[in-house]
Amino acid sequence: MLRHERALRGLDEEIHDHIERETRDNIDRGLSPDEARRQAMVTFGNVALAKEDTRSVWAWVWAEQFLQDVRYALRTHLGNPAFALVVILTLAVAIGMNTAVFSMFNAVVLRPLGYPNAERLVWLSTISHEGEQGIVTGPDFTDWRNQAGSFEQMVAYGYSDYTFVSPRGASRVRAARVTEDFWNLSGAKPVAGRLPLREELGAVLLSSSLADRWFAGDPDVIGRTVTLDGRQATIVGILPQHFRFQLPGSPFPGFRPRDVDVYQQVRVSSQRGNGPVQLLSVVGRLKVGATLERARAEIEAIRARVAQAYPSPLNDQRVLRIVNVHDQLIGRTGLALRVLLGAVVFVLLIACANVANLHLARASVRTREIAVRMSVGASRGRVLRQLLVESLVLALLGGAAGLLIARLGVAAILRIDRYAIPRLTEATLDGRVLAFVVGMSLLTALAFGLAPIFTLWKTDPHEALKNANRAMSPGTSSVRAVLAAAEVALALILLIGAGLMAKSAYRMYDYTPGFEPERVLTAKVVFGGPGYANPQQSLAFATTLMDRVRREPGVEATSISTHGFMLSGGVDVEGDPVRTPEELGQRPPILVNATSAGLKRVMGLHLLRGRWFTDGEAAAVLNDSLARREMSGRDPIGRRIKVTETGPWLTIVGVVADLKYSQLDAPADPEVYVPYTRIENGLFAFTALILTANDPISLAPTLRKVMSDIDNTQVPDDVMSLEQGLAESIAPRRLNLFMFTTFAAAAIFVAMIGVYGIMAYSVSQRGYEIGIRMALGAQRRNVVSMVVSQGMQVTFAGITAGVAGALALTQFMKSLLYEVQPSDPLTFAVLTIGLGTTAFVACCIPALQAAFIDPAVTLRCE
Amino acid sequence: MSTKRSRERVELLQGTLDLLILRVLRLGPAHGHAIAKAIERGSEDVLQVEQGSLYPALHRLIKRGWITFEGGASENNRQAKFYRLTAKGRKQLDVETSRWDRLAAAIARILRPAAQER
Repeated sequence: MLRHERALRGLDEEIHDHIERETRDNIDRGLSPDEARRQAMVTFGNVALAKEDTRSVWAWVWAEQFLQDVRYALRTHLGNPAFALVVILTLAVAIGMNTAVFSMFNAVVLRPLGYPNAERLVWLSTISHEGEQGIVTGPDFTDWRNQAGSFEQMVAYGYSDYTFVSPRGASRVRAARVTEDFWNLSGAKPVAGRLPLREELGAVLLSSSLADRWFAGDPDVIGRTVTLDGRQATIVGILPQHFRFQLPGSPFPGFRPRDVDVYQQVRVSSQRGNGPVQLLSVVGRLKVGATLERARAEIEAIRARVAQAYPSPLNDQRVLRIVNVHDQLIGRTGLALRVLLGAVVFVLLIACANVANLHLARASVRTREIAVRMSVGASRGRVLRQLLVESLVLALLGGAAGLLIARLGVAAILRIDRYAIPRLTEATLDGRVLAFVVGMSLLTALAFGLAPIFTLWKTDPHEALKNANRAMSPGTSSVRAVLAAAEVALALILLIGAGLMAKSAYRMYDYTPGFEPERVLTAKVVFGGPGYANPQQSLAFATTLMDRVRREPGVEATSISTHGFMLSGGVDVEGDPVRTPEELGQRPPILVNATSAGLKRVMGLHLLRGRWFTDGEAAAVLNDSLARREMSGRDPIGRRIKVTETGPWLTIVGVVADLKYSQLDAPADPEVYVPYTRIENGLFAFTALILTANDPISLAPTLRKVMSDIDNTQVPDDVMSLEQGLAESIAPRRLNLFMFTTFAAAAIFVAMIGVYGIMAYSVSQRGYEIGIRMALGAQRRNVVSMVVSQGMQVTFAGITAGVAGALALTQFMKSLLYEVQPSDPLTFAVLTIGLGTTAFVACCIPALQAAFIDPAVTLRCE
Repeated sequence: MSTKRSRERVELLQGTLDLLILRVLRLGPAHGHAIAKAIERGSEDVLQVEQGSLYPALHRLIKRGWITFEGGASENNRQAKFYRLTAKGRKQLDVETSRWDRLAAAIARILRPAAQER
């Protein structure tokens, strides 16, 4: 037996014995037995307190009391399950939302990349204007890697989408093409097989998920030869399940993000001069102690040497960009996530205010209970601890339920769009998230648990016991009114934030008449491999595909588009001086869209001037932006242009209005439409566009079948309606909108409960007063208007503060908005009135209850 | 209300009460009530010990290892513990006593001139 257990055993007996001895001594002194006992008790003092103090000499008592408090708290909450449930649910929603956002923030911003010493990884590129992704050429990369001393490794990489043909049919996979130092840089260790040898080409590693999909359960995957875009490759290894390609850079414009499933080692050409230019992304790991500044100076020096040896005007215009890989990867999403994190904290504040309000209401009922406990000897500290434990139990239960909500929430977000934010797929509930939940619960417990404690602190047991069930002090109810007003204010701020984003989305979806993306099926086709070496083959494929699809039932028109795949510095207008590459390079490139006669119909393009071209015609159509940029006020119709240096002369036959049909949140790029048959180098990729009578997705199988009939190695990519494609083009914004709307909805709900709660409580407390008023002749409508006006005072205070707060805070949302001002008056007005109306309804319910108070009943009760 | 007063007294007496208990136990083992009575009688009833505060003090001393206890039935057949000074407690008593003497002497030196002025 432990010493303290032995020491404390028989403490009750010992004290009894003590008092009995004292009593006997007193009797011996001549007192009556009763008086003797009374005096013995007085001399001894508070028995319970003495016992408790004795126990507390031994430290473990604290834990025992804590358990006792927890048991008592659970009993108390079980005795009032409605209260406990409301509190737990409110907190669960608030903590759940906060945790969901935090786990995203954690995965994207806080958690370092899964590669060793990720903090030393830097992204290197050259850009010609701000906002551009940037490129590095093969020879540049080779020079940097061989000459810069600040780096441990430097890796060049790019992506390819391959058609993989297996006995089960063809499918598309995304491959990362990496130089040999990638394995060291990423710390990749295959779970089966090996890494490629140095200089080994044609070796690929698979992600474990692809290995499962393609070769489920096959033990002989390693060493197998597969065909990727018609070329042979050998599988040498399989990477672990958790391994991901985490380096920044989008694959290529116009293609959806997708998990990398194949890793292929490639060589980079180091020869400067003619021939195709490899455009690469580059990441390096700095040596220990090397700084970004030193690395930058080194690379600049190398670039200067190269510029002297191989003068090239295009290279001079490009500016070196070196940043931490993590920063490059996050880009602007970091800001969006911070805004979300800030917004969701509001939900938590509202929930805390609401729960504090509920607690305050209950505190007035519990004053008596606490007075009793204090008068039998409980110290204030002990009562305070008890109350805190009660809050803590509720907060932890709320936190546990919140964890569940967060899990579901993150799963829902991933279902909406896995790739809306880079690394979003890595959002999981890890130790940091768990710590966040626990911390959050403790914090909320303190926040809402302290409010009633402040009022109970002043409790004088005598007063409390005397005035058994009187209403609490007016001071408390004003605290509650302030809390309710704060809830309204915070909810309004969130609501306005959500409203501004909704209006932005509305602006983005504001299609011109004739453009019906919900009726258009899109599919990307990429020509790879030896089968399409001859340019005519790709053109023939496009022609055949359009002809065959058009004959299918339900198809109204077909076309192809190379929107996003072909860029040019600008157009050469016949008769104008030919522009130098320097001049062309100074401005953002224009889009060259190799398309067909059907595009006007499919997209509902609106002709401003002239006409659309026919297939095979040596003609071109400009969009309005391009006409204004390149024609400088002259009439473009009838002029001849070249879209590439070596291309044929094309006559401009029309100008169409700008149309955003790939990226909803950016103005349309300057674009020139040319017949695809005039593209002499052939097409490397295009988007098939099919205008359907009604449901585009139902035609997807037909499209696949037609394509495989023409060439069974061709698989369409990203098959979806144009509507879906447009939605995905603003995926991060849609995610923000979804989250903000959810927050605002939760905030309003909780805040309205708050307003309703304070009014309902006030009515229940003032039942006596209202009864008297009615007995003295007050009409029901007087009572209703009295209660409603009291509630609306709280609401108006909240709304005023909310509008002021929103004006100050929506400024931070500027980059999340599109064609909407942060202080958009219409949004502010509509939502303020809307919230006010809702609050009015919330006040009316208790007001009507008050109106039906029966004075006879109420007055008799008191 | 009594709660508050008793709390204050415990704090007031804390060090002193410990010293007094040690002093009483030097004369031999005793149970709680006897210790309380010995303190009251020994001080000619000047020091009124609130007897309830004796027990926390006893346990504090047990915890520090200055006293120990043994169980035994008292004459009215109840469980009662007999508390006894340990060697460590005896040493502590000497230290505390000399410290108390120094303190008392110092306070007396300060108070006496003031008393003479009156």
